[in-house]
Amino acid sequence: MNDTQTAFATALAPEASTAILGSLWQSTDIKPLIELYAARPLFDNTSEWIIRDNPYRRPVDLKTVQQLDFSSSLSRSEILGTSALAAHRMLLNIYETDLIFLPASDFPAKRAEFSSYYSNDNKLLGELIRPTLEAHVFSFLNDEINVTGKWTVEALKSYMQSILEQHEKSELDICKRIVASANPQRAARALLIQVAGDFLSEASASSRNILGKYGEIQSELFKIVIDDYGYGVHPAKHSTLFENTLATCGLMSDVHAYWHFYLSSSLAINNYYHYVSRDHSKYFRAVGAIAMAEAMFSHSCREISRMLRTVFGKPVDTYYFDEHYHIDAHHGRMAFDYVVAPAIARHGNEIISDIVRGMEELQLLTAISDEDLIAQIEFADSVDELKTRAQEVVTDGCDSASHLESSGHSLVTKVNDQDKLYQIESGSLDVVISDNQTVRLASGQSMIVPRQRLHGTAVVSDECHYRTYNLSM
Amino acid sequence: MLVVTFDPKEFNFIKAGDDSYFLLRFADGSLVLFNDYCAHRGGPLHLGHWDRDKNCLVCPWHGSKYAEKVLRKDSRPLIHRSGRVTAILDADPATPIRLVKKNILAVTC
Repeated sequence: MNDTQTAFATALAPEASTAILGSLWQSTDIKPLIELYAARPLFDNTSEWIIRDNPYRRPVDLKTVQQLDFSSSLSRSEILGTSALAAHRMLLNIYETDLIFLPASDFPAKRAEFSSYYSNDNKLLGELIRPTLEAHVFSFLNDEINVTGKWTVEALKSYMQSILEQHEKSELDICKRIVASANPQRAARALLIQVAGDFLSEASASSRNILGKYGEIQSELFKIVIDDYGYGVHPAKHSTLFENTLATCGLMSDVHAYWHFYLSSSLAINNYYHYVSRDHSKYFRAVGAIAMAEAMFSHSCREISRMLRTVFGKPVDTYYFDEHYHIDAHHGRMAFDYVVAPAIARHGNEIISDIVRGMEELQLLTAISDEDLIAQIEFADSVDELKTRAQEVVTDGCDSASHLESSGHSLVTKVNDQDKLYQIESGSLDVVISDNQTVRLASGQSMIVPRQRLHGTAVVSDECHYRTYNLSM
Repeated sequence: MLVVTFDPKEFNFIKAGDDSYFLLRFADGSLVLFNDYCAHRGGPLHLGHWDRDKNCLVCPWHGSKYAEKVLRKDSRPLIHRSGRVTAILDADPATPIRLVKKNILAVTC
């Protein structure tokens, strides 16, 4: 036998396979596979910031991936940084090969990309790197959240009720911040873009949990899913309702059209549902997360609907959020009374800590996402101040890099792990903050981009010479 | 049931009506909230000591032992997230509560 055959034969013995797989997941040899994945043409940079009608093109920024180390877990303070963004982009690409996406038009021209996205090569490579990426971005949840004690269904119900009571009394900070923004419509669109990655394929991740055979709670969970799918009536499908909202706010509903503008924290929530729903050993965490999401979403949707009407006035179609405000009051109750409680009755109190963990994880990821989007809105609102401050920065002692780039269209957004100063020496550079906000910097101009703030750059003159400085934190 | 949220750096003891609970931290950083009254004769367990050889809490009154496994299994439901804890107590929601910082003698690590 050759080395490969020997390895396979050895792997068939259970103890050997566990050892081999264990060392594979922990091995630094995964990094070349990650780079190989990121180098796939589908995931290359794009020529435009908006990706029209092509659900297979999902840039992951190969140049940045090559410089990163994914072998250790990120801490809470790092989860909005460079490697988190790269990992979450790759994870979403991996997870969504289980979902079906077809372009709205011109399939023949996109057939090669369709085949490539769903190819065995793409899937296999994705599976090999997935555990490393998951550990990198989700391990911090284990550090942040601990669930102990002797839980009962009554304790769980009391805990959930107390969370919901507080939530329902609150105004959403994100909605307040949007209304107070220097450009509320821009800020509201930013929110819609963040949720588009999930809402346009709504319930796809959690639908993974209705497969198989596991008793009455399966059928009860299915009822929640079929509500989301509009009972098979396409105009009533929740994702269709969301498309209508997007249209009335001047946004496209092509899947991942705004890929470049997904914040890492938004990708994290979308990925989290896949993470706990694809790996069925995490089923009870998924149940907890889904139950909490359904229960909390009702009030959140009421707040968002109100905010959208304030910001856009009569033309906006808020039916998606109004429908969720209504139906999720039922879904929250259904999820607890007909899924969570019966699951506990059937499978024992030992599962409750998993359910609670799922509830807590979802709340934590949601809180992080809200903070991230608020910070991004503040960034968008502070451009003039960031340009003014840039003029006053002392760059002595700062790490710097010189860039000479030609105009061209190899576009991808990124974040920096430190505040970064962009200083234009000749030519012009666009700093792109969102789908409809670009700051053009001409020769002699400069701007600070705060750490962990998503942005892109594009040379708009024939050539641009600029310097970047990593500013002390 | 009564749900109480607090900062475990600020408080480590809850009085809820006639019942009392204390926070115990294990070597792995996890926290448990345990009833302060020994099941034997009601001794104050927060004043017990940790026997590192036997890995158990020892009641200061008559030496009743509570193994780590038992403490984890029988402690109150507790969530520790991002620096705050939420405890679910078996009490009426209207029960008056007092949060206290006490000297917990049972130091496990």
